[in-house]
Amino acid sequence: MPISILQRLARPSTYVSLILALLVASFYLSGVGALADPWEALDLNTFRLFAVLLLVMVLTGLVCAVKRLSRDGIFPILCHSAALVVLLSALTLYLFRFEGTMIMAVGEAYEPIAAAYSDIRKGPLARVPAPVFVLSSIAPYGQQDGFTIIPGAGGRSVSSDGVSLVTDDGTRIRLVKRGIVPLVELAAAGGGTVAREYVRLDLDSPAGQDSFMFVNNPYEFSVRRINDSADPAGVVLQIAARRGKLKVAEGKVSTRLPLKIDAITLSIPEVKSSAIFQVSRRSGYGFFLAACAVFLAVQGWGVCIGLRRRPAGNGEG
Amino acid sequence: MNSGFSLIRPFAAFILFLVLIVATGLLLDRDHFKFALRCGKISAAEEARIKETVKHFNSLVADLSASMGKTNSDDLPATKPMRHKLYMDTGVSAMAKQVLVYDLASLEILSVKWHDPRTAIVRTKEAWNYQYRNAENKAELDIIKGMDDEFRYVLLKRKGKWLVHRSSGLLKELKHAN
Repeated sequence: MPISILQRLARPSTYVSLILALLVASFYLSGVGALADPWEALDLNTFRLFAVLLLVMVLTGLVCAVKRLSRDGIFPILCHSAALVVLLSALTLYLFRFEGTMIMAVGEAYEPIAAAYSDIRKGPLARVPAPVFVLSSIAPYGQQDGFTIIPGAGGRSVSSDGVSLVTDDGTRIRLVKRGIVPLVELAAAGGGTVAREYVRLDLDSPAGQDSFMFVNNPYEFSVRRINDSADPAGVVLQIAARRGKLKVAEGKVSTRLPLKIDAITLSIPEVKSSAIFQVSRRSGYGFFLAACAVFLAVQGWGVCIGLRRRPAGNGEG
Repeated sequence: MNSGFSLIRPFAAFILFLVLIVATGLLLDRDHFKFALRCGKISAAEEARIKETVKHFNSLVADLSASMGKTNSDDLPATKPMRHKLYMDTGVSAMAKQVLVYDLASLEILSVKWHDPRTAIVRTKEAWNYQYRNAENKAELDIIKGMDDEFRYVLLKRKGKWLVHRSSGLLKELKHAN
């Protein structure tokens, strides 16, 4: 009996090969740094094209299995249905996954807005997670890794298990690095405050420095840590102020040591400890894993049935 | 033998799909797949394009500053946030009725690194001459001064073109306290 190409493609052995090929390709791409993580493969046109092909193959297989129910029994329907559930749960996971990096100062309440994050990787339908908590404390360098939050509107504090913590709404918060959030004040020579803001700094970045600007102020400030004190108040920073390419001033700055720049003075009245968190949320991850387990069990069952039938001369499958 | 034979077809299908994915990737997602096939490196031609972008950016920045932002900036290889930063700088100078005239004396590319196929980090050593002038009559307000410094650029590839997204001066260890 001639078998159409579509029917051939709709065999589990064929689309499992495609799934494996897609997995290998996405893990290789992320392994060499072309993608930040394997899920990002679905942002590429190639993977989207093959994902649609995969969906068509599984749906065709399911339709054919339903048509042949009386001849082949329930097993092929079970097999294709399991594959379909895996694909749909993977799609849901991709669409709603969220991962972002943010800096939070001790005592600060979490803000569920995209602007609070310095880097976001998310699915097309994902929203910024909205757990309600205040960062209560961070263990200092060299001591027990971890942090403590106060969830909800006050009440009992919750400590992280190692460096990560899962909130009640399923958001995973992982402590990646520690940082500082200084209160930077620019004062005019004639008196008066030009700017006064808390500045979030990641001084352990690959460049070893960070920079910031104030709105409507032409200076760009590059910052580097000189004294790596465990006490935020003892931190000494090297700050350079630039206008465009020109370095206008450079010097050491601490809570006691200001820096003069043209006609203004930069000072740091206060330095808070901060945590650089990786916040992630994977809606339906448990369901996806369960679907994969069911699919593998069904496929394993199918292989066992095939192996048992094969010595009897049934080579088609 | 039978069970061994039954694995050949799925394995052949796996290899065939892998080849198809790579071939399609080289057509539709060229940057990512070429980067992956080079085991996480960009081509020499791409590196040359990145270096050229940094040089071109700096020559246009000098023009933009001297013309107080009136130069046509369509050619400026910069992202929107970077353009805003440049225009804010020229705008603040204009408010002070000053114009900063830059002249690029030398630009040496120290290193080109990349995070992914569309993000490159370039370190440069630059020497500039500069002078403040009156914005209206271009009269000299100061003598010509020189400076040299190291800079770090973050470039992003958008629609096949490299654009400067961020630039910052690199801090060296201080030799003395202020």
